[in-house]
Amino acid sequence: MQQLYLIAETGGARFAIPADMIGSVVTASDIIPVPMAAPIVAGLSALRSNVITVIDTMSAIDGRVASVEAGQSLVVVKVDDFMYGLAVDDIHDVCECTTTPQKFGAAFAPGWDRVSTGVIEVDGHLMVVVDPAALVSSPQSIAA
Amino acid sequence: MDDLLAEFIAETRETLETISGEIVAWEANPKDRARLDAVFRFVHTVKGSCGFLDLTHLQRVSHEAENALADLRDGKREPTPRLVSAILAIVDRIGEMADALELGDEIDEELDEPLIAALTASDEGGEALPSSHQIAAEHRNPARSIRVPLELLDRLMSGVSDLVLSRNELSRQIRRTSSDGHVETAFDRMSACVAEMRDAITWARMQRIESLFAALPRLVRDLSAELGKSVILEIDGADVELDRELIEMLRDPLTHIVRNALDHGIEDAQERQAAGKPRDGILRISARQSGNQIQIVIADDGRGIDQRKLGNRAVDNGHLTADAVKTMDDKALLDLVFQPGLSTADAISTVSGRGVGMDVVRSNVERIGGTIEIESAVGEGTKLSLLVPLTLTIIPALIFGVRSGRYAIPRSNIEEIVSLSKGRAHIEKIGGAEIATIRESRVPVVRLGTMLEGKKRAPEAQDNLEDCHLVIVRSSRRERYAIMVSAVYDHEELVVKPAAPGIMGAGIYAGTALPDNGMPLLLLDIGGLASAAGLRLSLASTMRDEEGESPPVAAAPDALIFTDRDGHRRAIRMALVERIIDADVSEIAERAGTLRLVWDGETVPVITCAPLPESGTIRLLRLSDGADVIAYAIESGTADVCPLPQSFVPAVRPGRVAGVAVVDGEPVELLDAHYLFSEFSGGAGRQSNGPQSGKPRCLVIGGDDLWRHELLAPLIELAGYDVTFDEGEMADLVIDASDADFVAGAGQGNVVRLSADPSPGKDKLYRYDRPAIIDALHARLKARA
Repeated sequence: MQQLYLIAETGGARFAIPADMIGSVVTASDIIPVPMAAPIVAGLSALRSNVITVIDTMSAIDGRVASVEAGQSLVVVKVDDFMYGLAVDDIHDVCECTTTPQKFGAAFAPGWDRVSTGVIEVDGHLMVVVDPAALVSSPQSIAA
Repeated sequence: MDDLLAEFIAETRETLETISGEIVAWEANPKDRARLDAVFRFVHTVKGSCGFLDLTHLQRVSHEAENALADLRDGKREPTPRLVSAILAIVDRIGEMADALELGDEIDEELDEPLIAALTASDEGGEALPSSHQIAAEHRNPARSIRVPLELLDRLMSGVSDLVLSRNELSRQIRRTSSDGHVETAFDRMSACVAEMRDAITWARMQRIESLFAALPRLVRDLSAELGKSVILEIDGADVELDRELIEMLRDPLTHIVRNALDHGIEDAQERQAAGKPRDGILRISARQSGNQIQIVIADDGRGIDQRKLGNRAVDNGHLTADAVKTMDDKALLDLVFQPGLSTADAISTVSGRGVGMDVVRSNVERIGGTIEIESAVGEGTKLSLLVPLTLTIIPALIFGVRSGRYAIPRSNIEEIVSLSKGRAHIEKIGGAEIATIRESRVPVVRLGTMLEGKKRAPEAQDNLEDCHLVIVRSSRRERYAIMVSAVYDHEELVVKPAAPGIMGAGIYAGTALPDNGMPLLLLDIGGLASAAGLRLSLASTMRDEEGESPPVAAAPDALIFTDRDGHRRAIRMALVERIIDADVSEIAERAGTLRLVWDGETVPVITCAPLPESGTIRLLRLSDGADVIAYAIESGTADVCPLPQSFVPAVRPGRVAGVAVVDGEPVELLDAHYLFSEFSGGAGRQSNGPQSGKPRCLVIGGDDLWRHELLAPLIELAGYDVTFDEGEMADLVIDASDADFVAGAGQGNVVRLSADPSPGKDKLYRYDRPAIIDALHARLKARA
């Protein structure tokens, strides 16, 4: 089965997001902070007439305090009818992969394990595939 | 009923179109079982709907066809060409009858007898089928409805929201760069189109509340069976329309209320008979529209709620002290049902009674900007009234600033805004909490800035600098508190959407919106904010806070007190004030006899008691009586909300001012809103909305051509008549302006005769005697009716 992936980079790590889940990629600007929201929520931003919730991808993975700078790229995905912008440092490429993602068990740190669906091989490199739906649900709510 | 009929007709026609292919194929091969089934289903559906709609004749025809088809399916009869044609003739006939129904034509039942006879006739024989065609309806497609997927509607709605936003952006750009009148005119026209489109889409999203009520009979039936009770459900007002999104949001609360009513409210048959009540309990659910709100009332005739028991339960649970309960009146006690964890049910059943309930219902209703109230009498029943806005998508809200952020509060939650700088309120620190005293009443204060940005807590002094307004809010009658904010920006109508779970999880937000400036905005949830701030009522503490207050005047309507343009303090009933707007004076001009403001694509009559300034902005109260809108110019100083004075001295003669009362030691004049609307809200607007065809037609004949066209006709049109000069047309009334009895016969009851002579003869009116002419027209129209 052929599947397109968007290769993004954040916090020095590269990962792949299934392209069919992605609406668009935009540049972050005017992020309105949301006090008291889940720690991974960096704020709100406007995309045309929609309000998107900006998620700090790194914070969702390693639990740091969310912070997104203007100029970062936002990968816009739709999960449960809500639009999210996943903030990443860099967008590299869109690539095609014919193999289904493989699970390598407990090889990842817990943060990565939570958000990934497996590993694919792109140009001889291994790449973690990230599930946006897992990414936007905060770690606490999974634990609960 | 008409709607149902229209739907039936549309559906029948639609299915006819889709199965026409099947019919042809079946005719070619009558043994084809799948095709036969399709035709059978169609006829069967028609028969069922007819029974429901009480179309007995059509039902009979389709029933006969169904019988024949059933025989065919069971192999009792052979599909001879003759029988097939007979069935097809009936299918065609159903289409014809649907057309006739739509046009309101008489259905010639005679025609169908031979058709039915043909069905039952022996399968042999070759005489031609009787021709059945009623005079064919010429126009086959008058008003028809189509089904549209909801997603498409949502897409349209968001498309229109996009359009509104980009229009706003464009308007800012135009104001900044161009002074070209042509551009502005073109833009205004586009603006009006966009506004109209938004209205149309909003309307298209409306759904009959029927779809919400439809599940109830089944629910009541199942529940009463489960509980061993006998309940009659009465539903009224199912044709009220509201936004479909709202219908979804109301589904759970309504189900919950109905469950409660059946489980706790209505007694079982023995208990009812013992109490001298009819054996069957009655649950009444009704909906009606009032203004831009919908009221849904759910009433049962059950045992009611025992307030004292509720009070005791609250004491047992530790919600309240016994003393506090003693001081509460019945109403306040009854409101306790909305407190979490309280239930008077002695036994927990599978249906309800676990104490999770009415508080959730209330917060759900409040989340959509509605209110819920309860009335109950022990032994007589309980009545819950829900008041919800007509549409969820647009909520009037106040936008204010807290430190660097901006937030919005639904206007329905706001009671008053008090500026601290003017010493109208003072704040005391008691036990670490802050209490504001505003005109004798004390409310807890929530410092939103500190709460939201707690970590970066600014020093006290800075707090005082930044936080200078108190917004008094109430989430319900009891939860009343003040939010301290740094700036109050604007009233705006917001398109509110739910926020992502990560944000809603904070518990203090009701949703997100994109205001005109294009920056996302968070709408605060007043109830949630109170609990997050630790005000979780803490109902007892509110009670204490309110001790020493003058007797509650909650029942009295609120009034808005403001400084009028002539410097007098005046008041108007708050319910009439739709919003406060600041308009550019250049947008107000004398048009059609009165000052009018062009605003958001509509013109609003403006009332002012002193001349408007040459330039700059002016503050206007936008008043609405539900149908018409007028604007009242005021000074831009403070406007306070306070209870409407219970008594006032009436004015000497009717006019803009209805009377005068004393509020806080100062005289305040109360505006006579009735007078304002009757004087200023143009009949013109109503006329253009009204159905044109409904106007009586008035024929004007004779007289000077210029005079009757330019002077008489406008006058008559203004009085609500259609004017024609064509004697060939039918007219309800005739004006003979010929001065020479152009219309023969003096006794004609519908003729008004005019004369140029100021002292006209008998049966004639002077042609400039305006009131007399109008009176005469009205009188004659009445006489004819």
